[in-house]
Amino acid sequence: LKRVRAAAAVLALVAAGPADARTLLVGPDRELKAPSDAARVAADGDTIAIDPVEGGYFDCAVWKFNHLTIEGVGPGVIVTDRSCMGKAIFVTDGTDITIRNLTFARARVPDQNGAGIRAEAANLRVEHSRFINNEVGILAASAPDGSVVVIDSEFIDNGQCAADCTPSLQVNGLALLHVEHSRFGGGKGGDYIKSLAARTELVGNEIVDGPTGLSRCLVELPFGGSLVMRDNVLAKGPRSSAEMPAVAIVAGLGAPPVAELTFNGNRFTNDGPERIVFVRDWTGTAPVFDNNTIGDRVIPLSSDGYRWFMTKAYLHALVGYGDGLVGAAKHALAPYKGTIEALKARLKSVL
Amino acid sequence: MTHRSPTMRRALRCARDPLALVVALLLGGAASLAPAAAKTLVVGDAQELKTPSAAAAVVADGDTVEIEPHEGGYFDCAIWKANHITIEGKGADVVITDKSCAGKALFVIDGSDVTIRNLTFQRARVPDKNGAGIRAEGGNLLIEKSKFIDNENGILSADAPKASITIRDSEFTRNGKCDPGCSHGIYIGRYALLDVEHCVFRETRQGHHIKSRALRTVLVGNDIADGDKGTASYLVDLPNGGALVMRDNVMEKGPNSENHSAAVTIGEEGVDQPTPEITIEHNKFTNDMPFPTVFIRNGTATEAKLTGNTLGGGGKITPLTGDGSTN
Repeated sequence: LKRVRAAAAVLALVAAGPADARTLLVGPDRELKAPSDAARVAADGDTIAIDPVEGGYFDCAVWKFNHLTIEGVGPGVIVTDRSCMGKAIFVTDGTDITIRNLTFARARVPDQNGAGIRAEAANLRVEHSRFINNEVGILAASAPDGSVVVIDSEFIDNGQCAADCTPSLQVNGLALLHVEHSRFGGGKGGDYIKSLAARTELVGNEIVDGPTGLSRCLVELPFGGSLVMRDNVLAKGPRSSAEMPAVAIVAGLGAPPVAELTFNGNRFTNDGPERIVFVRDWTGTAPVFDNNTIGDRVIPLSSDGYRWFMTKAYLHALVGYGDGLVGAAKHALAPYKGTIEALKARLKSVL
Repeated sequence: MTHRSPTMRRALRCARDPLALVVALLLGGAASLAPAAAKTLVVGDAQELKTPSAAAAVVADGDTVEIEPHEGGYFDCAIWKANHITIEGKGADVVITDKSCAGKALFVIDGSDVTIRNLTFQRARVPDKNGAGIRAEGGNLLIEKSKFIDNENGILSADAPKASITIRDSEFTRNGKCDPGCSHGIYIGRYALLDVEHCVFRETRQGHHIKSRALRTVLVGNDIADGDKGTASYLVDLPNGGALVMRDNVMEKGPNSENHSAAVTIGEEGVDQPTPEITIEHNKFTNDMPFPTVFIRNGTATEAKLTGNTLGGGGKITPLTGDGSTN
């Protein structure tokens, strides 16, 4: 696999025109004083190497070029407090951007979804980075063929629930979300990971509320998609919502198909007093559930409520009552093109 | 550059008295001996120096400039380049009015460690529409018992990241303008500290009563009110973050405020400096607008701590939006 990745990296470099690729140095002693200075002069294929600065960079940047690598030189390179375009500390508008060795802290915006990184183009890769006390750690827009890959990173004290909740990591319609060997904790209200990707892979992560964590779900797939969770350590804390399961997968009307649900080698602990559900499966797809270690006061797997949820959804869709539901019903019915036969068939399949 | 306390300056002024000289030595050490020739310049109709600008032309480091009242006020402006000087009105009604220097202000302060006392600055207008009573361009500045009336900016500063501006017992009335850029009651740039205590702000026009980009802003015991005629935007605006301590202030947004959204905002233009604390204690805020408003709108990730504040008036008030807690 490593060889494949290396080959892909070489291909990516060739595609970017490596002859012109440069390394831009950012730091208090460099010509480029702040990441945003580099963002203004970067070009496709460049590497941006950022020196540490005392107290962090009070800066934000919009990266508009492709195949960039943006990395901290050593640990402790912090970008903090400031958001661009009312969105994030770093807004990545280019494809195939790699971010490494950086800490993103304290993003706040009027919309209350200020992110460490807002990915607005396909294929973001984040390695060895930290997201601390942002309204959202990473927020990725839809990119149907794109991926977000997060490796060896930390998400601490992110999220909020002032009006709508925001999670520590959220991706919208992607082909793939892959999170590996990363740590999530201290959530401030939303989920840790919320994914609308066609496929979500979580491997070897630690997702633990701890004493201060105030999460909704640890992992939520609100609109279908495949989920593979392997070798993760998960714990809901005493302040976390007991009504919500640790992992929630919902495939309502019109959701993309759930091709795979695999839970293998995970360890789940409930640190709260009330009994809770580990995996709530509202998809109709049978999960593969092997070798998981489940602690006390935990229902490992539940589909309770799924039939009622789908019945309600169909009634809403058919009757179309409630102003707010009309749009939802139309959206939900779109894949069936309104044919009664298709509806009946779908209804039959889930009930 | 040494900073000299008022006590020190008095001692130096009386330096012909051997005892005072000893005191001066004890207080400030040998370095303070340099301006031993510090003198008091007197400005007035009956004096050799007829106007503040005449004094500014001859003042030296460490001097005191005393300005006597003048019928109708001094139609004058001055650029003060010396350091460690005190410029003060003799009595209660010494007015500088109408004329601006360098297209900037009635008084442009280029020196460091300058004290202004007992003066009234009024009617500053310049083509850039940011004519100030005082334009601070040097280092530390102390303003006491002064009035700023009907200027485009009451006080406007440049940046001096290591310096402080302290304003006490002063009044700001009918300052401010937005045409199209905004001017304010007080508008301070990148200073280490802005400290405003026991001052009164009234009828600020369109701009904010206090706008500060200082690293730390301390507001204690002030009375900051739009009144019936004021059209101000915010009462206090820290557009780039920075520490904020507000204690024992009485504040009001009036019916003609041109910005209903908030009384105090932090981080509106993007936070680009540390915000170690936001402490809001024992203030009284009244919303006299027929609109809802927010008392503290915190755009930083620093938790605002609101304690013992009294909120009232006809309009609804949300005590805090953004990070923080209310007790």
